[in-house]
Amino acid sequence: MTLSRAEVDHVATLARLGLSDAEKDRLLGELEAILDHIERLQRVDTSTLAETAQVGDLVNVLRADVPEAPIGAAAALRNAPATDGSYFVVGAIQGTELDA
Amino acid sequence: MTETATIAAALDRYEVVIGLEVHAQLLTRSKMFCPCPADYTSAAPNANTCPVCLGLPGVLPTINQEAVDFTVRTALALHCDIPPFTKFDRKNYFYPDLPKGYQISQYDLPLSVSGHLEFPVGGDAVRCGITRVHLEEDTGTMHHAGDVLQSATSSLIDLNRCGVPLMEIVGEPDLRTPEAAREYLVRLRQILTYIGVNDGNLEKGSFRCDANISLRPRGAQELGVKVEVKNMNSFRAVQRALESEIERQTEVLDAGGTLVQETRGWVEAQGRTISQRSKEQAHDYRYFPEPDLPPLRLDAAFVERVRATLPELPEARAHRFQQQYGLTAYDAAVLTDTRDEADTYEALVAARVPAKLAANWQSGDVAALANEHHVPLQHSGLGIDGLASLLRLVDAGTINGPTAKELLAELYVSGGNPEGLVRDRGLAQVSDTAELSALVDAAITANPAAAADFRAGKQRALGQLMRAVKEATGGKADMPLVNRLLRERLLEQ
Amino acid sequence: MTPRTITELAAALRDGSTTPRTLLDAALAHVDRTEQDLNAYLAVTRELGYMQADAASHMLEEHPDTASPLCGIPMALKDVLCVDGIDTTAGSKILRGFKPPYTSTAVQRLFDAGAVCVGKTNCDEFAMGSSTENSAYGPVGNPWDIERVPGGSSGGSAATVAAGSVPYSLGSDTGGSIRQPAALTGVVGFKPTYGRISRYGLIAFASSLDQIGPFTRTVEDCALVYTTIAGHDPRDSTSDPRAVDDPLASLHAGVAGMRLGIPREYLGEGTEPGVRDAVQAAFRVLEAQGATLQEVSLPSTDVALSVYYIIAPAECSSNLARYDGVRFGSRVERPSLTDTYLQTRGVGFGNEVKRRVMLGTYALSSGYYDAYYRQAQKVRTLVSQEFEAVFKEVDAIVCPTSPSVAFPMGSRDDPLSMYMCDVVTLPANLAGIPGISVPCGFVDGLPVGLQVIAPRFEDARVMRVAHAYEQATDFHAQLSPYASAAA
Repeated sequence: MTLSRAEVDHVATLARLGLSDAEKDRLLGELEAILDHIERLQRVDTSTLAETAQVGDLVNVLRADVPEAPIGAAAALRNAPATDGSYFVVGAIQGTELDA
Repeated sequence: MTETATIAAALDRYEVVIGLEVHAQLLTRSKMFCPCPADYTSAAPNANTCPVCLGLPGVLPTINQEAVDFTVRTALALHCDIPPFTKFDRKNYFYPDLPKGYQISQYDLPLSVSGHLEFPVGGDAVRCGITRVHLEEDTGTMHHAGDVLQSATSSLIDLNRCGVPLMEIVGEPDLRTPEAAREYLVRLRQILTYIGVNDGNLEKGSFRCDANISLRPRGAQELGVKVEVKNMNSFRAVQRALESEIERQTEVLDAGGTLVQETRGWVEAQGRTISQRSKEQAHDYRYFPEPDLPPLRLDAAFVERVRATLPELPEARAHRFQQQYGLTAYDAAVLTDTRDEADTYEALVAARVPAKLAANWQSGDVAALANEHHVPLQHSGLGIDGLASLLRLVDAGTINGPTAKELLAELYVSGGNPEGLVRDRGLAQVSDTAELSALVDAAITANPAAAADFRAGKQRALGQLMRAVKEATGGKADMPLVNRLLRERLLEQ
Repeated sequence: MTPRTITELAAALRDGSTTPRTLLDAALAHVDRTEQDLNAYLAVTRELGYMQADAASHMLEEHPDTASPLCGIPMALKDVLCVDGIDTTAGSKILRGFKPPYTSTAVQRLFDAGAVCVGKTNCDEFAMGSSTENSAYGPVGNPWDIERVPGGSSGGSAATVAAGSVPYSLGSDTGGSIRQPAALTGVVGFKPTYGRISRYGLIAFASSLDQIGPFTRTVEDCALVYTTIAGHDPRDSTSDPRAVDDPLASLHAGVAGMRLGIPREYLGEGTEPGVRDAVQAAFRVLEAQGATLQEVSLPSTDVALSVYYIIAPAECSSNLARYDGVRFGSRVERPSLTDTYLQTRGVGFGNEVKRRVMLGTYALSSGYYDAYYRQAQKVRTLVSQEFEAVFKEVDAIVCPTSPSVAFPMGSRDDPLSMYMCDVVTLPANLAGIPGISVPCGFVDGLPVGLQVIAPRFEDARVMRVAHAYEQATDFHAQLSPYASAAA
């Protein structure tokens, strides 16, 4: 299993992690070692196994359509790094997105 | 060449393949995964939020049962299959209007699959397949400083809309013209509003549409390069955007060029689409099963329970109206355009108003008044019961047409009891033959020239005599009876 | 004798020999005295604590008979549990200053019972780690040797109970994060059946694996805390609506006639000899109590670690997407939104979090999903099936909690060697089954834990076996230097 530096760049972008070159180099080695270890998973014959997304046998867990009081804008905004009136604020969204 | 001619020329050479994706907000009272009120338009920004729809650390979603019911109801109206097992998945991407960094949606096992929608286009019946109808949550809304995304230095975020139940209806690429695309949407919106799951408002965005369009030379088997078109907020915009895209793609293909797979946005003001994102920039959404929500098993009993809530759909109802009430296809279509309209009609008939009479008044004067006052009949002063009693007076011959028209206009706004008013104001029609015969004689005596003209064969001369009788009764005469009496008297002499 | 357990303190509160305020005073003084060495707390909630102590006094005066055994007793909460208006950081820089506008269900149930909150405890960032060295706010000292780690990720919650500051605390366990630190600090740590305790208000690491659970000094105390917080919560769709068995009802039933299985894979090469010896001695104690012990096999134990290190990072990569600096938390402002995202997360997250987010994002990304995530989900099914098969032969599994005793800080800088810490705890998370760690001896003065695992919803059985063992030994009564000093 070899991971390329380009893949590390791609995954960091997908995950929106701003990493330094040194961090990427280190992660490349660490992730490779982990992926090498995990490789043993491929040897398991899973042809007859169903996928487990969650344990337990719960199904149809539904809520009645009854509205409850919201917490309101003041409480919603209390932890925000930047606000304008009763809005959250973010900086410029560039025309092209980063999802390479 | 005109635009229409350009399109027609293009359609001669190329086959256009269009598939539509519709996002429709569901009319539930609370949000999809939290109990916040779903009404996001009337509240101050971010007022209708809670830790769940704000995506705060530690919160968990809960599924709104009504949203599931509404989606299944829609799926059944669109003749879809409801698989016995369905689940929610996470669609991961970063955007400020998506607080969790993922949207809870459905990926490989949607609530419903394999349906279809039939509708007429220019006299032909068109059938468009429905790939799937699934359930997800809406995002928040953003306001860009200066309102232009590209040049904005900052954006304001309102999460009131975030988490409103959203149904995605994916159509097969079975549509071949922009007009068919438009008619598909018109019929789809009609059904959604009919079954009470969506309010069908394109401008406000409660009913939104994206289109995929490709062109291929006539006779070619292989599909052309697909372009996704977004930002269309009216039926007209959908048709225009697709026409513009056909023109653009035709030009590229005619010049021997190749199209790129991309997403383009319709710019209404410029009447053209502009590129937003190419395939190379396509998202990698990393879908995986939502671990916070157990799956759904919708058995036959559940599906039948929802099916029982399904009202008669517009097409079936129009057909029944023709059979049951003897209406023309046109009248039946007009009277079943919305569920309210059709319910009103059947309420009138049930209140002993003859079918044809009810149809004429409802689609004529009543529709005009509703339009003029921006108030539907059921919310007018008159109401459905009032209209029924007014029309029963017409049917019984108690009042004549012109009197009924005047009363309708008055009562529509002010309200009141038609029978009482007719009695109090003495508006009842004069249809006593003896009384009218005397007035007819008086009219002939008073207008000898007109009588002579009529006898000489001038039909129009009768009008003057009719008016004389009408005036003599203060407008209350039974005019068809007056007409008959006048003719009899003039011709017997 | 100084009262130390919930049971003892509850009696003392009722016979008038102490008050909630006195207990809180003592707890706060003890924290003040030991924090320099231990760094077990990220926040001390003095104001909230005194408010709750006074409310508890009233409850005890007015309803001494019906008041909860937890009423008036100090406790601490792992900093991944949201408390309305109280700083909650999950051990991360990115949540510095975050004050949730709501309280988690499990914590609210404690508060309703009259519990007195002393503070929020230190932990590995977003509960990712096995040593608490991944906290952005510095490591936690093990009260038995402050040069060594207390285990993790709930290291602060374990250390504060082991140090004797509080008789109990709450932690969270995704792959062993309660049981392993309990073992390394010589206290009781319990991970209930998945779905037994609401996760609402628990800052998510890996949603399909996370469970809240208690640290206590005794198994009986564990049962008291568990019964207070367990049970259905409509806010958590994965919480189970079935009635909760009362573990106190069967706590003293003993193990006579029970069949206990020892998985041969759980005492493999990686197990330190001292740990093996202590655990084998514990098996003899259980045998002497009338249990039948037999060897069983869980062949997929080796691959379970790989399954875990795909599923947990995959879920965490999605769960941690909300830390974008828009609505809460710290933000590194840049001219463009994309750069703001990158820098906010690049600066706000520590190394281990970044590593797992990268790993999980990779495992879910286009072209790798089938080979990694889907394959892991299938092998997860196999892990559960093997447990089910074993539980047809035996009533419960007994084994070590951790292959090693507390290790020196900084000694495991290779991520894989750290991941190996969880090799005998994480299979229970994959299968959603309950597991407990109870003190079972010492190696060179460092505690060893015995783990008991049972089928789903047999939480009471796990406590019954652990209690039987505990009553036959006195390891649980041995105090760390910090606890002895307090006596």
